[in-house]
Amino acid sequence: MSSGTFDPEQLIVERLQGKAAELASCLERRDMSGAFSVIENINAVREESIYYGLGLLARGLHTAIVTFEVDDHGKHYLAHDETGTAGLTSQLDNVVRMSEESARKTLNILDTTLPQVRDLRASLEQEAVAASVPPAFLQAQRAGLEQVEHNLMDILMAQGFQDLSGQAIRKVNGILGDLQKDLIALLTYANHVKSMSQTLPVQLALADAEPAEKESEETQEAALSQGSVDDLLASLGF
Amino acid sequence: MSLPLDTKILVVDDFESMRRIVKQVLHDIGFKDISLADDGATALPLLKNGDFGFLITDWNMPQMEGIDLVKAVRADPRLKGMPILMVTAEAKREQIIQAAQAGVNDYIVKPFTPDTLKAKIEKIFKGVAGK
Repeated sequence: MSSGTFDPEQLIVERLQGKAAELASCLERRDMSGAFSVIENINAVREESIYYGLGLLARGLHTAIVTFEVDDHGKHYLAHDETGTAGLTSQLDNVVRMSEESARKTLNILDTTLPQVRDLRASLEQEAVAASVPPAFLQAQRAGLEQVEHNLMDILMAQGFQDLSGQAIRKVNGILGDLQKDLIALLTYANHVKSMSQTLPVQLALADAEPAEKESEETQEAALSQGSVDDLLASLGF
Repeated sequence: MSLPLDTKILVVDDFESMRRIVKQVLHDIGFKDISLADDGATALPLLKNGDFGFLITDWNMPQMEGIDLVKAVRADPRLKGMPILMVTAEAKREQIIQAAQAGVNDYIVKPFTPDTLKAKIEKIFKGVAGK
Protein backbone atom coordinates (compact mmCIF):
# COMPACT_ATOMS: atom_id res chain seq x y z
CA MET A 1 0.00 0.00 0.00
CA SER A 2 1.51 3.36 -0.98
CA SER A 3 0.11 6.22 1.09
CA GLY A 4 2.39 8.59 -0.83
CA THR A 5 0.21 8.36 -3.99
CA PHE A 6 -2.87 9.87 -2.34
CA ASP A 7 -2.88 13.63 -1.81
CA PRO A 8 -6.24 14.59 -0.24
CA GLU A 9 -5.75 18.32 -0.77
CA GLN A 10 -4.93 17.81 -4.43
CA LEU A 11 -8.00 15.62 -4.82
CA ILE A 12 -10.28 18.29 -3.31
CA VAL A 13 -8.67 21.02 -5.45
CA GLU A 14 -9.19 19.02 -8.64
CA ARG A 15 -12.81 18.26 -7.83
CA LEU A 16 -13.62 21.83 -6.85
CA GLN A 17 -11.95 23.08 -10.02
CA GLY A 18 -14.12 20.67 -11.97
CA LYS A 19 -17.27 21.85 -10.20
CA ALA A 20 -16.26 25.48 -10.66
CA ALA A 21 -15.89 24.91 -14.39
CA GLU A 22 -19.27 23.19 -14.45
CA LEU A 23 -20.87 26.09 -12.54
CA ALA A 24 -19.32 28.63 -14.88
CA SER A 25 -20.67 26.71 -17.85
CA CYS A 26 -24.20 26.56 -16.35
CA LEU A 27 -24.15 30.30 -15.65
CA GLU A 28 -22.95 31.04 -19.14
CA ARG A 29 -25.90 29.13 -20.51
CA ARG A 30 -28.25 30.73 -17.95
CA ASP A 31 -29.01 27.19 -16.73
CA MET A 32 -29.97 28.25 -13.18
CA SER A 33 -31.38 24.83 -12.28
CA GLY A 34 -28.12 23.23 -13.31
CA ALA A 35 -26.13 25.92 -11.48
CA PHE A 36 -27.97 25.33 -8.19
CA SER A 37 -27.49 21.60 -8.60
CA VAL A 38 -23.73 22.13 -9.05
CA ILE A 39 -23.66 24.33 -5.95
CA GLU A 40 -25.27 21.50 -3.94
CA ASN A 41 -22.68 19.10 -5.33
CA ILE A 42 -19.84 21.46 -4.37
CA ASN A 43 -20.98 21.19 -0.76
CA ALA A 44 -20.71 17.44 -1.01
CA VAL A 45 -17.12 17.49 -2.36
CA ARG A 46 -15.64 17.38 1.13
CA GLU A 47 -17.48 14.19 2.13
CA GLU A 48 -16.98 12.77 -1.33
CA SER A 49 -13.23 13.28 -1.06
CA ILE A 50 -13.10 11.62 2.35
CA TYR A 51 -15.10 8.71 0.99
CA TYR A 52 -12.82 8.45 -2.04
CA GLY A 53 -9.74 8.57 0.17
CA LEU A 54 -11.14 5.82 2.39
CA GLY A 55 -11.87 3.79 -0.72
CA LEU A 56 -8.30 4.15 -1.96
CA LEU A 57 -7.03 3.21 1.49
CA ALA A 58 -9.21 0.11 1.61
CA ARG A 59 -8.20 -0.88 -1.90
CA GLY A 60 -4.53 -0.27 -1.16
CA LEU A 61 -4.62 -2.29 2.05
CA HIS A 62 -6.46 -5.13 0.38
CA THR A 63 -4.05 -5.17 -2.58
CA ALA A 64 -1.04 -5.13 -0.25
CA ILE A 65 -2.44 -8.04 1.76
CA VAL A 66 -3.39 -10.10 -1.28
CA THR A 67 -0.32 -9.51 -3.43
CA PHE A 68 2.35 -9.57 -0.70
CA GLU A 69 5.32 -11.47 -2.04
CA VAL A 70 8.67 -12.26 -0.50
CA ASP A 71 11.86 -11.96 -2.50
CA ASP A 72 13.48 -14.95 -4.23
CA HIS A 73 15.59 -15.77 -1.18
CA GLY A 74 12.54 -15.82 1.04
CA LYS A 75 10.61 -17.94 -1.48
CA HIS A 76 13.11 -20.70 -0.87
CA TYR A 77 11.81 -20.95 2.69
CA LEU A 78 8.24 -19.76 2.42
CA ALA A 79 5.66 -21.49 0.27
CA HIS A 80 2.33 -20.39 -1.05
CA ASP A 81 -0.67 -21.67 0.87
CA GLU A 82 -2.85 -24.51 -0.30
CA THR A 83 -4.94 -22.25 -2.49
CA GLY A 84 -1.84 -21.41 -4.49
CA THR A 85 -1.99 -17.72 -3.61
CA ALA A 86 0.55 -15.58 -1.90
CA GLY A 87 -0.70 -12.92 0.45
CA LEU A 88 0.43 -11.26 3.63
CA THR A 89 -1.67 -13.22 6.13
CA SER A 90 -0.85 -16.47 4.37
CA GLN A 91 2.88 -15.74 4.48
CA LEU A 92 2.71 -14.73 8.13
CA ASP A 93 0.91 -18.00 8.88
CA ASN A 94 3.72 -19.78 7.01
CA VAL A 95 6.27 -18.02 9.22
CA VAL A 96 4.49 -19.27 12.34
CA ARG A 97 4.29 -22.78 10.94
CA MET A 98 7.94 -22.89 9.88
CA SER A 99 9.20 -21.54 13.19
CA GLU A 100 7.00 -24.10 14.95
CA GLU A 101 8.57 -26.90 12.87
CA SER A 102 12.05 -25.59 13.58
CA ALA A 103 11.39 -25.40 17.32
CA ARG A 104 9.85 -28.88 17.27
CA LYS A 105 12.96 -30.36 15.58
CA THR A 106 15.23 -28.71 18.14
CA LEU A 107 13.06 -29.85 21.05
CA ASN A 108 12.99 -33.42 19.69
CA ILE A 109 16.79 -33.48 19.70
CA LEU A 110 16.89 -32.01 23.20
CA ASP A 111 14.37 -34.55 24.47
CA THR A 112 16.86 -37.33 23.72
CA THR A 113 20.14 -35.48 24.34
CA LEU A 114 19.42 -33.97 27.76
CA PRO A 115 18.64 -37.34 29.39
CA GLN A 116 21.81 -38.76 27.75
CA VAL A 117 23.92 -36.02 29.32
CA ARG A 118 22.30 -36.57 32.71
CA ASP A 119 22.97 -40.31 32.41
CA LEU A 120 26.61 -39.55 31.56
CA ARG A 121 26.92 -37.42 34.67
CA ALA A 122 25.39 -40.17 36.79
CA SER A 123 27.71 -42.77 35.22
CA LEU A 124 30.71 -40.55 35.89
CA GLU A 125 29.84 -40.31 39.56
CA GLN A 126 29.40 -44.09 39.76
CA GLU A 127 32.80 -44.60 38.10
CA ALA A 128 34.37 -42.10 40.46
CA VAL A 129 33.20 -44.23 43.36
CA ALA A 130 34.02 -47.63 41.81
CA ALA A 131 37.41 -46.81 40.34
CA SER A 132 40.29 -44.60 41.33
CA VAL A 133 39.71 -41.69 39.06
CA PRO A 134 42.28 -38.89 39.36
CA PRO A 135 40.53 -35.98 41.09
CA ALA A 136 41.64 -33.44 38.53
CA PHE A 137 40.32 -35.57 35.67
CA LEU A 138 37.06 -36.17 37.56
CA GLN A 139 36.61 -32.48 38.23
CA ALA A 140 37.30 -31.60 34.59
CA GLN A 141 34.77 -34.18 33.38
CA ARG A 142 32.18 -32.97 35.88
CA ALA A 143 32.67 -29.35 34.82
CA GLY A 144 32.54 -30.25 31.14
CA LEU A 145 29.33 -32.25 31.40
CA GLU A 146 27.75 -29.60 33.59
CA GLN A 147 28.58 -26.98 30.97
CA VAL A 148 27.13 -29.15 28.20
CA GLU A 149 23.91 -29.63 30.15
CA HIS A 150 23.77 -25.90 30.91
CA ASN A 151 24.23 -25.07 27.21
CA LEU A 152 21.53 -27.52 26.20
CA MET A 153 19.15 -25.91 28.70
CA ASP A 154 19.97 -22.51 27.19
CA ILE A 155 19.10 -23.90 23.73
CA LEU A 156 15.85 -25.25 25.21
CA MET A 157 14.84 -21.91 26.71
CA ALA A 158 15.74 -20.09 23.48
CA GLN A 159 12.98 -22.03 21.70
CA GLY A 160 10.56 -19.87 23.65
CA PHE A 161 10.97 -17.39 20.78
CA GLN A 162 8.47 -19.43 18.80
CA ASP A 163 5.73 -18.88 21.36
CA LEU A 164 6.30 -15.12 21.68
CA SER A 165 6.81 -14.47 17.97
CA GLY A 166 3.86 -16.69 17.06
CA GLN A 167 1.58 -14.76 19.41
CA ALA A 168 2.76 -11.44 17.98
CA ILE A 169 2.22 -12.59 14.39
CA ARG A 170 -1.27 -13.86 15.20
CA LYS A 171 -2.10 -10.48 16.70
CA VAL A 172 -0.80 -8.68 13.59
CA ASN A 173 -2.88 -10.92 11.35
CA GLY A 174 -5.91 -10.23 13.50
CA ILE A 175 -5.33 -6.47 13.38
CA LEU A 176 -4.91 -6.53 9.58
CA GLY A 177 -8.10 -8.53 9.16
CA ASP A 178 -10.07 -6.26 11.49
CA LEU A 179 -8.69 -3.12 9.84
CA GLN A 180 -9.66 -4.33 6.39
CA LYS A 181 -13.10 -5.42 7.56
CA ASP A 182 -13.78 -2.13 9.37
CA LEU A 183 -12.63 -0.01 6.42
CA ILE A 184 -14.91 -1.86 4.07
CA ALA A 185 -17.81 -1.67 6.52
CA LEU A 186 -17.23 2.09 6.79
CA LEU A 187 -17.10 2.44 3.01
CA THR A 188 -20.26 0.42 2.57
CA TYR A 189 -22.09 2.45 5.20
CA ALA A 190 -20.85 5.75 3.73
CA ASN A 191 -21.98 4.71 0.29
CA HIS A 192 -25.37 3.70 1.65
CA VAL A 193 -25.77 7.11 3.30
CA LYS A 194 -24.73 8.83 0.09
CA SER A 195 -27.24 6.80 -1.91
CA MET A 196 -30.00 7.83 0.50
CA SER A 197 -29.04 11.51 0.35
CA GLN A 198 -28.92 11.43 -3.47
CA THR A 199 -26.49 14.35 -3.55
CA LEU A 200 -23.60 12.66 -5.37
CA PRO A 201 -23.09 11.60 -8.95
CA VAL A 202 -23.73 7.98 -9.85
CA GLN A 203 -20.04 7.31 -10.66
CA LEU A 204 -19.31 6.72 -6.96
CA ALA A 205 -22.57 4.95 -6.08
CA LEU A 206 -23.61 1.37 -6.64
CA ALA A 207 -25.46 0.60 -9.84
CA ASP A 208 -28.16 -0.92 -7.69
CA ALA A 209 -28.62 0.19 -4.07
CA GLU A 210 -30.20 -3.10 -2.90
CA PRO A 211 -27.16 -5.39 -3.40
CA ALA A 212 -25.06 -2.93 -1.35
CA GLU A 213 -27.46 -3.22 1.59
CA LYS A 214 -27.41 -7.00 1.43
CA GLU A 215 -23.62 -7.03 1.18
CA SER A 216 -23.44 -4.69 4.14
CA GLU A 217 -25.37 -7.18 6.26
CA GLU A 218 -23.18 -10.04 5.05
CA THR A 219 -19.94 -8.22 5.83
CA GLN A 220 -21.24 -7.48 9.30
CA GLU A 221 -21.90 -11.15 10.01
CA ALA A 222 -19.10 -13.15 8.39
CA ALA A 223 -15.42 -12.83 7.57
CA LEU A 224 -15.05 -12.14 3.84
CA SER A 225 -12.82 -14.17 1.56
CA GLN A 226 -10.20 -12.24 -0.37
CA GLY A 227 -12.20 -12.59 -3.57
CA SER A 228 -15.35 -11.26 -1.89
CA VAL A 229 -13.43 -8.25 -0.59
CA ASP A 230 -12.18 -7.60 -4.11
CA ASP A 231 -15.69 -7.78 -5.56
CA LEU A 232 -17.14 -5.53 -2.88
CA LEU A 233 -14.48 -2.86 -3.37
CA ALA A 234 -15.00 -3.00 -7.12
CA SER A 235 -18.76 -2.60 -6.69
CA LEU A 236 -18.15 0.50 -4.58
CA GLY A 237 -16.08 2.01 -7.36
CA PHE A 238 -12.57 1.18 -6.15
CA MET B 1 13.38 -26.68 50.43
CA SER B 2 12.47 -30.25 49.51
CA LEU B 3 9.85 -30.21 46.79
CA PRO B 4 7.10 -32.86 46.51
CA LEU B 5 8.54 -34.31 43.30
CA ASP B 6 5.82 -36.93 43.03
CA THR B 7 3.24 -34.21 42.42
CA LYS B 8 1.21 -34.67 39.25
CA ILE B 9 1.45 -31.48 37.22
CA LEU B 10 -0.66 -30.20 34.30
CA VAL B 11 0.96 -27.72 31.90
CA VAL B 12 -1.45 -25.75 29.69
CA ASP B 13 -0.33 -23.64 26.71
CA ASP B 14 -1.57 -23.40 23.12
CA PHE B 15 2.01 -23.36 21.77
CA GLU B 16 3.62 -26.80 21.68
CA SER B 17 7.13 -25.38 22.06
CA MET B 18 6.23 -23.69 25.36
CA ARG B 19 4.51 -26.80 26.74
CA ARG B 20 7.62 -28.86 26.01
CA ILE B 21 9.98 -26.23 27.42
CA VAL B 22 8.12 -26.07 30.73
CA LYS B 23 7.94 -29.88 30.86
CA GLN B 24 11.69 -30.18 30.29
CA VAL B 25 12.43 -27.62 32.99
CA LEU B 26 10.14 -29.48 35.40
CA HIS B 27 12.04 -32.69 34.56
CA ASP B 28 15.27 -30.86 35.28
CA ILE B 29 13.93 -29.86 38.70
CA GLY B 30 13.01 -33.49 39.35
CA PHE B 31 9.30 -33.74 38.68
CA LYS B 32 8.37 -36.84 36.69
CA ASP B 33 4.57 -36.94 36.34
CA ILE B 34 3.77 -34.14 33.89
CA SER B 35 0.78 -33.93 31.55
CA LEU B 36 0.16 -31.42 28.79
CA ALA B 37 -2.93 -29.66 27.42
CA ASP B 38 -3.24 -27.22 24.55
CA ASP B 39 -6.16 -25.11 25.83
CA GLY B 40 -8.15 -24.29 28.93
CA ALA B 41 -11.09 -26.13 27.37
CA THR B 42 -9.14 -29.40 27.15
CA ALA B 43 -7.41 -28.84 30.48
CA LEU B 44 -10.50 -28.43 32.66
CA PRO B 45 -11.91 -31.95 32.09
CA LEU B 46 -8.42 -33.39 32.72
CA LEU B 47 -8.26 -31.51 36.02
CA LYS B 48 -11.76 -32.57 37.04
CA ASN B 49 -11.14 -36.25 36.26
CA GLY B 50 -7.50 -36.54 37.27
CA ASP B 51 -5.59 -36.21 40.52
CA PHE B 52 -3.38 -33.29 39.63
CA GLY B 53 -1.62 -31.44 42.39
CA PHE B 54 -0.32 -28.41 40.49
CA LEU B 55 -1.45 -26.35 37.49
CA ILE B 56 0.80 -24.23 35.25
CA THR B 57 -1.15 -22.27 32.67
CA ASP B 58 -0.71 -19.67 29.94
CA TRP B 59 -3.20 -16.77 29.58
CA ASN B 60 -3.98 -16.35 25.87
CA MET B 61 -5.54 -19.51 24.48
CA PRO B 62 -8.10 -19.83 21.65
CA GLN B 63 -11.08 -21.54 23.24
CA MET B 64 -10.76 -21.00 26.98
CA GLU B 65 -8.31 -18.41 28.27
CA GLY B 66 -6.08 -19.17 31.21
CA ILE B 67 -7.80 -16.61 33.43
CA ASP B 68 -11.13 -18.39 32.87
CA LEU B 69 -9.50 -21.75 33.60
CA VAL B 70 -8.19 -20.36 36.89
CA LYS B 71 -11.66 -19.09 37.81
CA ALA B 72 -13.21 -22.45 36.93
CA VAL B 73 -10.67 -24.30 39.07
CA ARG B 74 -11.25 -21.98 42.04
CA ALA B 75 -15.02 -22.41 41.66
CA ASP B 76 -14.81 -26.22 41.78
CA PRO B 77 -15.07 -27.54 45.37
CA ARG B 78 -12.72 -30.44 44.58
CA LEU B 79 -10.09 -28.35 42.80
CA LYS B 80 -10.24 -24.98 44.57
CA GLY B 81 -7.19 -25.61 46.73
CA MET B 82 -4.89 -26.53 43.81
CA PRO B 83 -1.73 -24.41 43.53
CA ILE B 84 -1.74 -22.47 40.26
CA LEU B 85 1.15 -20.74 38.50
CA MET B 86 0.43 -18.52 35.52
CA VAL B 87 3.21 -18.32 32.88
CA THR B 88 2.36 -15.77 30.23
CA ALA B 89 3.58 -13.03 27.92
CA GLU B 90 0.96 -10.65 29.35
CA ALA B 91 2.75 -8.18 31.58
CA LYS B 92 0.26 -5.35 32.08
CA ARG B 93 -0.34 -4.35 35.67
CA GLU B 94 -4.12 -4.72 35.34
CA GLN B 95 -3.74 -8.28 34.09
CA ILE B 96 -1.45 -9.29 36.91
CA ILE B 97 -3.96 -7.86 39.37
CA GLN B 98 -6.75 -9.66 37.56
CA ALA B 99 -4.86 -12.95 37.80
CA ALA B 100 -4.21 -12.44 41.50
CA GLN B 101 -7.88 -11.68 42.09
CA ALA B 102 -8.85 -14.81 40.14
CA GLY B 103 -6.74 -16.82 42.55
CA VAL B 104 -3.35 -17.65 41.01
CA ASN B 105 -0.62 -18.39 43.55
CA ASP B 106 2.06 -16.71 41.44
CA TYR B 107 2.79 -15.22 38.03
CA ILE B 108 5.76 -15.49 35.63
CA VAL B 109 6.21 -13.23 32.60
CA LYS B 110 7.71 -14.80 29.47
CA PRO B 111 10.55 -15.08 28.62
CA PHE B 112 11.72 -16.69 31.82
CA THR B 113 14.71 -18.70 33.03
CA PRO B 114 14.67 -22.19 34.55
CA ASP B 115 15.88 -20.68 37.84
CA THR B 116 12.90 -18.31 37.90
CA LEU B 117 10.46 -21.16 37.33
CA LYS B 118 12.11 -23.26 40.02
CA ALA B 119 12.10 -20.36 42.50
CA LYS B 120 8.42 -19.66 41.88
CA ILE B 121 7.49 -23.33 42.32
CA GLU B 122 9.47 -23.52 45.57
CA LYS B 123 7.76 -20.38 46.81
CA ILE B 124 4.33 -21.75 45.97
CA PHE B 125 4.89 -25.11 47.65
CA LYS B 126 6.43 -23.40 50.68
CA GLY B 127 3.28 -21.30 50.92
CA VAL B 128 1.08 -24.36 50.57
CA ALA B 129 3.03 -26.28 53.20
CA GLY B 130 2.77 -23.37 55.59
CA LYS B 131 -1.04 -23.38 55.54
